[in-house]
Amino acid sequence: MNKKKEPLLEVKNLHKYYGREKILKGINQKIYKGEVVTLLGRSGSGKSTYLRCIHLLEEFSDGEIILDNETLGYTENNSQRKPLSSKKRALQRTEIGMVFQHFALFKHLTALQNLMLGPINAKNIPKNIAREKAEKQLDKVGLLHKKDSYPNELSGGQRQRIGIARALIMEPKLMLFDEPTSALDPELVHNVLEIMKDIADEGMTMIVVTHEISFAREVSSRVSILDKGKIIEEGSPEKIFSSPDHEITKNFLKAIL
Amino acid sequence: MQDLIIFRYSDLIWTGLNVTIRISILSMLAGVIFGLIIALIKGSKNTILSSIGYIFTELARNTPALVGIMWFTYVFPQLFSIKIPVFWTAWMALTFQTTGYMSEVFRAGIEAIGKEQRYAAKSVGLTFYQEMKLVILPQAIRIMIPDILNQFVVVFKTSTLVSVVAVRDLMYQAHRLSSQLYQPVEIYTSVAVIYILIIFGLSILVNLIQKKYKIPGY
Repeated sequence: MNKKKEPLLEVKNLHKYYGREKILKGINQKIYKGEVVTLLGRSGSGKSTYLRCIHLLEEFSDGEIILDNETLGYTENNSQRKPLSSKKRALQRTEIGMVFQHFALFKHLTALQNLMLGPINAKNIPKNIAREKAEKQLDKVGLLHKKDSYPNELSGGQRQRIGIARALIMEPKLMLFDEPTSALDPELVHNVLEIMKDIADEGMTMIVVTHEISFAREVSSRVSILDKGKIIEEGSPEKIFSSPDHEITKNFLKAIL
Repeated sequence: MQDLIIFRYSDLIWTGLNVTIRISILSMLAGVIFGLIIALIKGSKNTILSSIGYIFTELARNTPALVGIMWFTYVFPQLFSIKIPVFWTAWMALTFQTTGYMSEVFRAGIEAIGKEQRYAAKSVGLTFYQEMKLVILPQAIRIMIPDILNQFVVVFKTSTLVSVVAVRDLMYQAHRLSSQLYQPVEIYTSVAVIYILIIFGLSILVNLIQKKYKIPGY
């Protein structure tokens, strides 16, 4: 872990209310460049919401998210919190890539078009260059021969690999994985995890929500346990999986191991 | 065959049909555009804005077509003390109703696409406008084709009511011929056949369109 002084991502006191319900109750986290952080927690603990807030897919009620020295989503003006313009937010989102549980590929577009949509429209990259990049990226996940297939003509594993490629082609600083393998048949999980491992080996900073403990153990540099909208425990995989401090963590691990 | 009244007076029938088709297509086009706008307003996070959208929809859907046509023809121009040709007041009434129904069709279509698609569109850096144009609407429209056709058929049928305010559509011409020639049986039957053939043709056309734009594997 090559820790620099400045974290790549800093989350300060993140709160999210949904009506009266509190989904996130003050999350503080610093993530350094090249780190792979696994987020664990029961369903409903706020993991997905946390990722979506970081990616500005959902509004958050309070707190601050800083990516590479840039505050995301809001500006502070005379201690008045104001949302940034939607254009600016769209631009900030390109700095982060996200992989979804149910793939969320654009169903009306081919694999290649799925990859090209972001670069062409959000980054104004010329079509022919975007196509080249997309083909390269598809090749990387082993699916160049499927470039003209539509999502519904592909298996779940293939769809998710394209989902990963679609996020990577934006050249994000940070990748978020929201249960990337939990909608897959067991025999397809391995392939997707291998690709994620490759991405981690190349130095990508990642936050991964997963129940794949072997992945968490082998690949992640840190494991964070989320419960009821708070990080209750954090540490190296060895520490968390062998001698967790928290009772909730112990029970949770007992249930999934 | 040549002896049939609709053939002997084919020029009248054609002018009538022309008006019927024009007013139907123009109301439908406007209804689709305004319907989309109202649907987006209804989807707004601003509750005042979205309430306005819903109120509009309810007004448009719950006004009987004939009442709408009368209102736009006899009340609306007076309110603003302007003169509007009856063709356009009738068009407004049909558009008003179509907008109401289409806004619901669009709202349901957009909602059917689901949150993950919207997240994914945002995730690759698209703005709201790009997200709608490039991701949501291309998928939603495919789902909505049957409903849009259905609405077009409704507009086409409802357009017969505009003859009441003397818009010279097919129905108006039929009525006129019938009262001149005293041949209601033949005339109204022929006109019914024309309407039915056109509507039947429309549904075949839409089936073809639907097949052509089907997403592979969907």
